[in-house]
Amino acid sequence: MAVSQELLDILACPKCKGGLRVTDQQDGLICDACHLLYPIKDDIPIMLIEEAQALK
Amino acid sequence: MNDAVHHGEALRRGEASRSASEQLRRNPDSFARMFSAANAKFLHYMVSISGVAREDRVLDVACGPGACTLAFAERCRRAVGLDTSGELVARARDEAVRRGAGNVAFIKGEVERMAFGDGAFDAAVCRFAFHHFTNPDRVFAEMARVVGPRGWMVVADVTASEDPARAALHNELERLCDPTHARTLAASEFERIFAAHGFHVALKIARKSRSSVEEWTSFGPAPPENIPAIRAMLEDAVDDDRPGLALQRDAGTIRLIHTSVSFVLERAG
Repeated sequence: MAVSQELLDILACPKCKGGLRVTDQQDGLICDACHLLYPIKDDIPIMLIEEAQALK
Repeated sequence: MNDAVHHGEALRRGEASRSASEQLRRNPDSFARMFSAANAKFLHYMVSISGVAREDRVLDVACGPGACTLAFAERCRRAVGLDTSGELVARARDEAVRRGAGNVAFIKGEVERMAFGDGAFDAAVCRFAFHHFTNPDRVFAEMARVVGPRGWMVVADVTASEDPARAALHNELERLCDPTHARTLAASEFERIFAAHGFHVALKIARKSRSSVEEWTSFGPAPPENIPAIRAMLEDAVDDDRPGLALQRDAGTIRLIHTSVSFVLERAG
């Protein structure tokens, strides 16, 4: 199940508090400002900076 | 990493639910209580005093297995549970699916660094978790940030005596009973934190919970190796009630009374 638009509207990057966008596969949330990918596992967004994946 | 270091690290990050996960490992049944009739009654009462409206978006801070989040979800537009324990939010999600609750989401994240925008919610609630936070002021600052201008909150937790010596002994006992306990605050300390972040107390209700030392130490449960020390401290403190827990000898045991306070908060001004 994808993250709903309503949930996406309230979620923010825990580091910069900026907005996020969903990955094409709907399996993560990207902060373009911090170049971080927060995974979504079993419908649960993992919004921990230390568990985020750094993007090139 | 040894347990003490690991624990210190967890607490540094304000991770209430690391301790909840530890409790879960020690006693899987203790979490069934979160969905017990007694807790359902407390949650009903928390929802009732909150004045939650149908259109509200509510954040449940340190939601654990989601009982409080789901109780609010029945009465509001959307409820979101936040917890640092992936194990607990997974349980919460499973319970939401079981109930067919479509207006609930659970997020794994830090309570001191919330992954929400400013004013993302109409309300924030926190049930019996502040005593696990090493930096309660920072957690409340985040709650105040993510709640909108006309926002409200309900914070419920056990409180300690206003007398610092009594409160210190109370906390020493709590830490023996639950090694992941950070600090039980006095009601006035809560109120200072709320005021510092622009919230005033609209309603304040105290509730007394009576237990025997056996009932209290089985709740977590306390590590068995700490029980002799807990008993010895209570024996030593009972006559003048040094931890401020209304200690009383009764039929071969010691009885104590914990005072929890539910604060309903509104933005000042």
